Amino acid sequence: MPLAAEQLAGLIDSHAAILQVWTRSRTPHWEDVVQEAFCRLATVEPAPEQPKSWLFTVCKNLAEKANRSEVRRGKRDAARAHPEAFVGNPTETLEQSETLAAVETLEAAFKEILVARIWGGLSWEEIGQLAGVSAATAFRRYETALKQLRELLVSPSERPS
Amino acid sequence: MNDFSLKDSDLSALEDQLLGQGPKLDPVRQQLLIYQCAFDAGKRSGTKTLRLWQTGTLACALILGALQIPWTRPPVAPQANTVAASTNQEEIPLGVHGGQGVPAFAGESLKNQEDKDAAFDRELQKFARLDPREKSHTLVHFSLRESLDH
Repeated sequence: MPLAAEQLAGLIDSHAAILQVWTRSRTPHWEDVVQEAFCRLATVEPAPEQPKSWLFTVCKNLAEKANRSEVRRGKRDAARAHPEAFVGNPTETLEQSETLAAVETLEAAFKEILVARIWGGLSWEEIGQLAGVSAATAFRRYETALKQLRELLVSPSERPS
Repeated sequence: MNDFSLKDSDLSALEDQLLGQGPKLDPVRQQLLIYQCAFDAGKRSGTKTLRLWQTGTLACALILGALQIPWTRPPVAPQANTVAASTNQEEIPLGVHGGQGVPAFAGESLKNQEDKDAAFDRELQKFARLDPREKSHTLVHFSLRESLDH
C-alpha cells in the first residue's frame, strides 16, 4: 500500500524545502533530485515506515547518481559553473532569510547534519548513517555547526571584543 | 545509551530559535511538486495496468492459436473412396473425391459419405452389368491398384 495522499502532501509541505537545502551541497541538480524522491515516495510499495529518513536517504543516493552521470557525460564542470539558482520563498521573513543564508555558508558536512537534525527531525543514528559516521561524531559536528552559526548570526556590535 | 544533549545554554537557545525558522517551499512550487508526484503515480499505475492487459492478451492469443492448429489439418480420406476412385474415376461425381475439399462441418461430411456410398452402389451395379471379359480386366486393374496402394 503506497503512502496516503494527505500524508504525502503533508511531507511535501514540511520537508520539501528542507530537503532542497540539504541536497544543494551534494549536487547541482538538487531540485530534480528532491522532486524525484517525492515521486518515488508516492509510488513505492509498501510505504516506508520512516518516510522522513527514507526521503533523506533517497535524496543522497539520487544526488550521487546524478553526479556520476555528470562525470560520465563530462559536463560536471559546466554544471558547476552555472548552478541552478535557489529561488527563496517570497513569504519568508527577513530573519528566516538571514538564518538560511548563514546556514548556507557553513561547511557542507556541518550544514547537512544541522539541517537533518533541526529541520529534518532525524535521530542521531539516522544522521550518522546518512553522513557515514557514528552518532557521537554526528552530535559533535552538530555542536560545532551551532557554534559557527552563532558566530555568523551575532551582529558585529554584539560580538565580544 | 549515549546522552546527546547540549551543555551550552546559548546553543540550546539558538537551537530553539532555529526550529521556528525552517525553510518553506513557496505555495506555487509546492503545488507543482504535488501535481508532479500525482502525475508520476498515475503514470506508473497506468503502465502497470497496461502491462497486465498486454500479458493477458498475449496469453489468450497463444492459447487460441494452439487450439486452432488441429482444426486446420485436412481430414484423412476414407478407404471406400479409394476403391470407388480406382474402379472408374470418370463416372464418380464431383465432390466425392477426398481431395476435392475439406468438409467444414459434420453435417456436410455425413452428406459426402452418403454420396460416396450411393456412387459406390452405382459403380457396383454397373460392374454387374459388364460383360465377363471387361469384368476380368477391371478386376485385374483393381488388384494391381490395391497391391500398389499397399
